[in-house]
Amino acid sequence: MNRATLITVVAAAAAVLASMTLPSYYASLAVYAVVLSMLGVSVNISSGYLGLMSFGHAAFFGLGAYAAGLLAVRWGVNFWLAVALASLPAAALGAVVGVASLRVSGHYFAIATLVVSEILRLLSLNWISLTRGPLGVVVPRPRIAYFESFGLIFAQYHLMICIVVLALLIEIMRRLVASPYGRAWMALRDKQELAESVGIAPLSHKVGAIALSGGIAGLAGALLVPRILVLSPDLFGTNFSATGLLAVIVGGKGTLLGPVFGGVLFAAAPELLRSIDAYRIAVFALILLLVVRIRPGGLASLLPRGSAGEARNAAIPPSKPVVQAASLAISSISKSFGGLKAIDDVSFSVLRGRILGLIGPNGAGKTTCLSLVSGFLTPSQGSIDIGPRKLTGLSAPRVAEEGVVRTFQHTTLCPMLTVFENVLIGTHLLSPETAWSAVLQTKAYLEREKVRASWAQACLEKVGLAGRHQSEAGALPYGEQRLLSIAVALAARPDFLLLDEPAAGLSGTEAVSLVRLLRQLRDDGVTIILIDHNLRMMMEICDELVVIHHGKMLAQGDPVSVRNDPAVIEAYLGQRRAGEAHAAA
Amino acid sequence: MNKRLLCAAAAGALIALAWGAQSSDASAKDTLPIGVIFPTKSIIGQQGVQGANIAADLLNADGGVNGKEVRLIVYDTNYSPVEGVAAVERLITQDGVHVVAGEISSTIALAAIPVVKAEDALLMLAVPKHPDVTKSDYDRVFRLNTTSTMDAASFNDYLKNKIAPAKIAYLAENNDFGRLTLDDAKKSFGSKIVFTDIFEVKQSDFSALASNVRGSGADLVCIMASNPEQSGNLIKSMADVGYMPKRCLTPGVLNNDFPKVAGAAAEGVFSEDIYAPSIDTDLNKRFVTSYEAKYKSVPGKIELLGFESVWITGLAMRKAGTVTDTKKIAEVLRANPWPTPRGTVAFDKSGQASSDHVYHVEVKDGKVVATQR
Amino acid sequence: MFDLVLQQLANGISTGMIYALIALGLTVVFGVMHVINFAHGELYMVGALCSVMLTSRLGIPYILTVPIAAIAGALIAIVTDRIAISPVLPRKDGHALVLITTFAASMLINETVVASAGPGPIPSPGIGGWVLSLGPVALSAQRLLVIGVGLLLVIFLQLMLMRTKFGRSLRAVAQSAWAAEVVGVDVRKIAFLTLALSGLLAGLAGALVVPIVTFSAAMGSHAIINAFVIVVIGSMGSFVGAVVCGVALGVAESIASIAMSSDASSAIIYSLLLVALLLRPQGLFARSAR
Repeated sequence: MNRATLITVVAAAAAVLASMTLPSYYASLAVYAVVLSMLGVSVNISSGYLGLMSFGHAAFFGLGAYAAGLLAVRWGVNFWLAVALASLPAAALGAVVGVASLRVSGHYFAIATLVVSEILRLLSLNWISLTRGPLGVVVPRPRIAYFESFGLIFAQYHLMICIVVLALLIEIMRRLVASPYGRAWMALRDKQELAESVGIAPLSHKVGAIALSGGIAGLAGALLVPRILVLSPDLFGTNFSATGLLAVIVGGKGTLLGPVFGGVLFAAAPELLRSIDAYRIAVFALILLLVVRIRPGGLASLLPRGSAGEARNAAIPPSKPVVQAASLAISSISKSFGGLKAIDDVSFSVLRGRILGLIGPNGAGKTTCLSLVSGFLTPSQGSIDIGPRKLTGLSAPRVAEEGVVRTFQHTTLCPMLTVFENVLIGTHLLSPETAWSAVLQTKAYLEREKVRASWAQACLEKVGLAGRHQSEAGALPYGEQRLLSIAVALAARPDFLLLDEPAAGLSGTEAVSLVRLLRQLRDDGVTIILIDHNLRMMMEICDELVVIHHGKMLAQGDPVSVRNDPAVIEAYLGQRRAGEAHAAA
Repeated sequence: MNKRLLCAAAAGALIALAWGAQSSDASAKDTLPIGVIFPTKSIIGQQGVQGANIAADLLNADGGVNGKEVRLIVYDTNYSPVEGVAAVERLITQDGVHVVAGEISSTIALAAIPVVKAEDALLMLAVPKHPDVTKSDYDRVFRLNTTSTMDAASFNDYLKNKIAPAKIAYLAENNDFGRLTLDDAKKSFGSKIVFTDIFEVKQSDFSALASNVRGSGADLVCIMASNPEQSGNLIKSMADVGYMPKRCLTPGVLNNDFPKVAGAAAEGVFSEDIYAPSIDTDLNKRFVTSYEAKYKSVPGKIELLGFESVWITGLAMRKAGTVTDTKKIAEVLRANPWPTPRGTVAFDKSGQASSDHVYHVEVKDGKVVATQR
Repeated sequence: MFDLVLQQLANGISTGMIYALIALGLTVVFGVMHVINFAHGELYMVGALCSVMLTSRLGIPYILTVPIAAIAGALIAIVTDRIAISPVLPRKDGHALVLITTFAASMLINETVVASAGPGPIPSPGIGGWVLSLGPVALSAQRLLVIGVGLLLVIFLQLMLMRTKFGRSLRAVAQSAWAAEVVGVDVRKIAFLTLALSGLLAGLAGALVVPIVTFSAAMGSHAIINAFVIVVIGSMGSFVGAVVCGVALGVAESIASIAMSSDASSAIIYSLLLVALLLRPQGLFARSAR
């Protein structure tokens, strides 16, 4: 058992022991605090880690509560068993919302979730035969004789159960967030293109994460039922949605313990202020204002920040990539946007172990070409294959799985994460992982995490950023950000690396080391497709050049023959860079 | 650094505030605390609290209860079961209260019963109307208001015999109260009901509803809305589209705020009630004058029920000679009739209060006028 | 039947215009500063309170209270901005923090009103009780006023947005606060004026709508969710979008109410909204570009 898990267990055990001594009122209040914390943990997954602001988590919360209560009352299921089952419909609803989140994002996602909870509220209000409508269903107190034989009162063992569940959830979250899953969520939140380029599929991750979030909210709702003992439609109300969201923000979005702090604040503050009942809401509002003004990072920012563990130890070398001998063949691809043909019948192939340069004037279609190859765009016609494997029509993450990874013309990184974390995101495809192994932290999983960490470190070393691994990526100078993007792509261990203007904005010395890096990579067996405007560099480094002009392929060949190609000379005549090309010759 | 200091200071001040308020509560030793719960931030909740305050004033003017001054501890339930349960639990376990009085919502009443039962306390409910509230297996739950079923039995008979409508439209708010009223009406009138609709408790614009009910051609429209801004706006919207059939509110919701909101359109709207401020008894005069002196308005039914919830509790404690033994207080409550401003109230075995008078109330010249039936 | 449909159409337009009036102010803040101002409903409530207090306590003619209520709304909006928005927004993750601070501000405003004026209800006379009858369709004068002022407002706002220097600055900040700063727009001042304008619109809406709905302290919180939905669906920041969307919602509700209970019609409208969001994830009135 590692240290963090030990801390969770000890804290939970202490809380359970403490709950045995609490009088009924404080125990019930603590139950509410724990339930709101769970709701917070749930909202934190979508709003904190995935960046999808939800105004409708009451939908899951109420669904869980109603499922548990109705199972117990209408169908005679043991309530505590019903609690476990109650998270299932909520998780299923979460999965549906997850699918929807691919299409609907930002504020529209917030509205969509709000609307879902409102529909469920109306349903619970009007499905009288099942829910008794606005009066609500009375649920008998689910007493457990075993606990009472120790002299515990209901609120105390209810609290103990809730604490154990919360501790479990926090431990699960801690492990998931530190796993490839958590990294994938944050990558999707900060830069979806980056995530897709290194093989993170948005659909499965969002569906999984929001289903998890829904399930946790459902569990929270179900555990609230023994506290209120009546299921009423306001469980679906905007009140709970807002409380969950606000608790997360006050506690600290995207932090492990933030939702717990927020949940406790939202449960305890209004209740403890009851002695000044007339002003309690006003005082509570002032507390919220103060917290945000003084601690904009949320209550969790009061905790000392532990430094994220990094693997300096590169003792376990990553297994060598399986080298496929086949070359990448691009056969007469076209792409039109509306009436405009951006790429028109372009064919070339890239031999393994070489650097192919893609040149052409601005707007010639080079980046479009790269996007087509990497799966970010689908060609209107033509096909892209690696030997027998067809890439045409595959999504970007699937193309990345086939070993083709791109970088972007504009620096695309997760600016709030550290350099090292960014590169770790790139290791997503290194070895496939299941959520179970990440949660259980099996031996093999920990071993694979070590491999990923050391490989990430190795990639940083390759681009010369090893000393920077704990800096925030957004704080790096521009040139280093460009290099970091390459390191992220390298971490995916591509067979084909597609670089879009990696040298743009680099200083002279940085450009020189970039050239050295690219050659090194080629010698390591990585095939590179390179776009850049620096023709001098291109001529120097590329084994082969493809010239694109107005979306059409003008020439292909080694640098010398391309340079002397009459069509190329003609296309470049009058162009600003034409002189430069000759000068390079 | 500065910010941390500020933060610590703010937290310290808050703890001190909460602590200070708590200890000042505990210091009042020689008083009798009675818990009062209402959604205090709502209109009817506020009316109930004000009625309860008058009861405490009158009890204390008569020398308190068993030598102790009655002190009300009022908590907001905010129409939320979570807050309601917490408030009741706090009253009983932290504030040393043995009787909790008040409340509007049947849902919260149902949620509070297990808490009260677990602590052997007594629950004296003022307004909740759902029949189930007094059907629990706990013998210390009492209810002062009539149930929706009792209302329907009395009022629907009156409508059938005296008004004899051909077509009836029923409009009810979407809560336990409204739904029950609608079900009872369907039982009483059957096919005579030509139009029903349920509106949200938050709704404030009734133009669409008013046009639809006009389209039904009913000659009697019954409205069930616990807040005057809804019943008033609805009547006003009906008048706006030129629809003025016979109009009544279901029993117990026609109060003085209604004509204020509905204006001229309120004229002729009638209902029935168990209370009218014009009742000519000494106790009622004392209640009405004290209320008017303190709150500058005439009390209505909700104020009365708030009053009674504390008043009868105090009288029963006096008679039982105990303020803590809720079992004995409950026995005394069941065994005796209790004088209140509306006449005499007696409780049946289930804890349901009876009422000996029914008043016909009607809006005349912008005022609610009551006549005994 | 046809008469009823016509009447409901008229009702729907007036109800929808009420929604739109409340949403207009919210849409400015949303469009320009990309902020969800939870306190907006309370500004609307304060406008209504101001109008009913002035008529009932001081006997000021209703029509004079409308501009005063608008100014009161603007003042409270400015205070809200000072306390809850401008100090927080520039921070890291400011847009999420603003949710908390404006939520807290809305609670503070509401509690203050409940403590001082009570929860209500306070009726307002409006511009009088007369009703315009056109064949089978009847609409009260106040509702006509709401529709008229709503239409004038949206035309006025649209002209201001397109023709004035202030309008151009607003649009610049809405597109990119950073870029606007670069070309010399005083972004802080624009943000301040935006808040004041939204408060003005909220106060105005409160005063215009209160004779129809009657003042209660909860009226703001009851209206805000609906307004928020309209703002987002009607493409944030677009005045015309907000009005079209508000009126469409009102008409849909009214017409649907002929055939079904209001709960069933809300459920259906919400479901349609959900489908619409899935089909047009960029908002129903968004231009296809973007």
